[in-house]
Amino acid sequence: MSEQPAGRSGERVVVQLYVVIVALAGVMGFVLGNIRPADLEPELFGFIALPPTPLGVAIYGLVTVGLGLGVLLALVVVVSRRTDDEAGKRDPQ
Amino acid sequence: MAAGDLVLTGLMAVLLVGIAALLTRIENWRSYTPLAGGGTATGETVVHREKPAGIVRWLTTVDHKDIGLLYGVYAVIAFAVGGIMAMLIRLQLVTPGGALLGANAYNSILTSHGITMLFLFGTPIIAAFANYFIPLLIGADDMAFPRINAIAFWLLPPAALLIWAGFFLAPVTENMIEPAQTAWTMYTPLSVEQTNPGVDLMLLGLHLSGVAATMGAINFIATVFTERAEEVTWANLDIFSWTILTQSALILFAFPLLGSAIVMLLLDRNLATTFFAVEGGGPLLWQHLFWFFGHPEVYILVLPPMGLVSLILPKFAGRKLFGFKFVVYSTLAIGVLSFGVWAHHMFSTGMDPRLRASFMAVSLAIAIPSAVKTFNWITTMWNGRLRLTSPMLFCIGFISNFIIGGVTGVFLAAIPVDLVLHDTYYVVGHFHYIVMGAIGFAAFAGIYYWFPVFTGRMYQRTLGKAHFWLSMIGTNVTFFAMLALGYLGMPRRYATYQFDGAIAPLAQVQTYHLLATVGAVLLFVGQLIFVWNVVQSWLEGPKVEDGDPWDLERDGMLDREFQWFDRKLETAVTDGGEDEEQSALTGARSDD
Repeated sequence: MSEQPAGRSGERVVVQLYVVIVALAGVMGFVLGNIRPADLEPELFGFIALPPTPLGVAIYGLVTVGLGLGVLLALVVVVSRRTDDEAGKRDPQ
Repeated sequence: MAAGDLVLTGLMAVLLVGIAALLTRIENWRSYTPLAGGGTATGETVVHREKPAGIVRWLTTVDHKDIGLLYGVYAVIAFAVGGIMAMLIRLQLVTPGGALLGANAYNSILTSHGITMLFLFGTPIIAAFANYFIPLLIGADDMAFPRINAIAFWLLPPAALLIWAGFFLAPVTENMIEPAQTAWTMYTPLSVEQTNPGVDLMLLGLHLSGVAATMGAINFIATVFTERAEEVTWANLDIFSWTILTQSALILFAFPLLGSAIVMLLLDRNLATTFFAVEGGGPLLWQHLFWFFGHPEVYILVLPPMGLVSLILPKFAGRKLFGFKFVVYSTLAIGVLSFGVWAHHMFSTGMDPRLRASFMAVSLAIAIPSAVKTFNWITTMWNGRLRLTSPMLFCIGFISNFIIGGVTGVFLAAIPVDLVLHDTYYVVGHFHYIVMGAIGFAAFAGIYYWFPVFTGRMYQRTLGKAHFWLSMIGTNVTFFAMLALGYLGMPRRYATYQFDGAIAPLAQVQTYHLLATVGAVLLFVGQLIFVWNVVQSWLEGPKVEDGDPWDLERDGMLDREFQWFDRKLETAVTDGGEDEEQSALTGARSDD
């Protein structure tokens, strides 16, 4: 009675989720660049100045959130390989 | 005025006649026992050995499953009411001058929307799952106190009527009694100085819902501690029960405080006490008391949904939850820390900066256990084979929205950011990502996952997925637009808006409001599909004949509730099933 007996690769779904959320951060950057609040001075990593344009802020959002969540995702990969007892149990069907 | 009095007198008379009619039935109730071996000596028609027939069954039931269903129906009705209110709010804000409502009507609907969704939908929908499934998951016969369980539920309908009373009474009292317009936070001095008796009724209703929640919490704690089957130990207690236990502890500490604060507010309003007056405790005292309840309330609402996701997600990932212990520890950590963050709602009130800093630190710290959970869910998915069923889609949607709601929340926890964004739509967007995007999604995941258990039927899968995608897109369009509105400086709670061009162009603000409304329409259509799917499938959906409708046995993940369901199908000893008498006699496998 299951809806979809085959199943999909969890890795692929998680990466898709990561891409969507990072893309949303980029869209938010674009929106902010359009709104242009007072004193908007995006600085990547605190020292690389980016222009306060939609594109500049979108890059800021993409890189910052992409890197932040990317580090966490990398951690997920490492942890699931090293400490997850169930890793490798389930070969793709 | 005279006509209003007359109508009120009439209503009271109807109420009294109703109570008298109910009292005449008490003798019958007494002779009805809920015990498994007991019978009904009332001579009424029964559909089951232990239960009377028809509406009387639902009014007198003390069966945890029946009460769970009552909670569920109640919550869905409240969700519909709150959802219609949300639609009215969104339609109003399509044009800067307000498209639909006057300012008072807008304020009334805004207030009731918040209270309805948090107290009449959020808490009851969690209680619905907990009532139905906690005893099954821990191998208990029923809740520890079945009658208290029933009383706790039956306090809720009058609570809703009191909270919404102003809407019913305004037309018949020539607006002498209007709906409360205090916003759900009921900040003083506004809430003290509004002379409208509708505020008193709303406060009493809220108090009643708090009493109900507290009674339920005591019952869950007693049940999990004392009613577990022998083989269910603390070590193998399921994750949903852990979150309900923690949530119940939070309720036990938080809701009585809300009740006390509400009584003080009622006294200030009606008996000229000065708890929250400048010459007394001061208006800020209300904010401290309210948020000491209010922030744990956020976790009261989000911990069990986290438990639902932790329970359901592994089932469709085909593997155990990664780091189970850490998910439990993080639940407990959130429970403890949730009482140390309340003043982050008050950063802009002018409170002592040293206090602000400490609350900022704890608010940032509470992100850690939340992140631990997210990390574990994602790691669970990473090594899994995912079956994208409707409950699983809602679990993944939960995680996605929770990340966005959580990250925007971390920024708000920082004092400098909060001072800029406080009371703007950014805050509204942030917490709606959590309450709708996460809590609402987990509730849908739970409803779809257990639909076969509580209805004996399967929902329409295509409609379930349509519901998910409309909800997911609608949530993100609506609340993303609200985050942008916050950056534009749009304040919360306004019925109309005008902007100085130096702050933000009005056209731009209106565009985002329009976008938010379009998203809300998507959400609304999605929920219509949900209600249709549930009602239609419950009545006419294909009957489930397999006790393992999700193929969980294959991965060794068939929990107790599905084992119970399987036994129920095999033995046909259902509680309140329509034709189990006959089935039991024939020993036939039920097709229910």
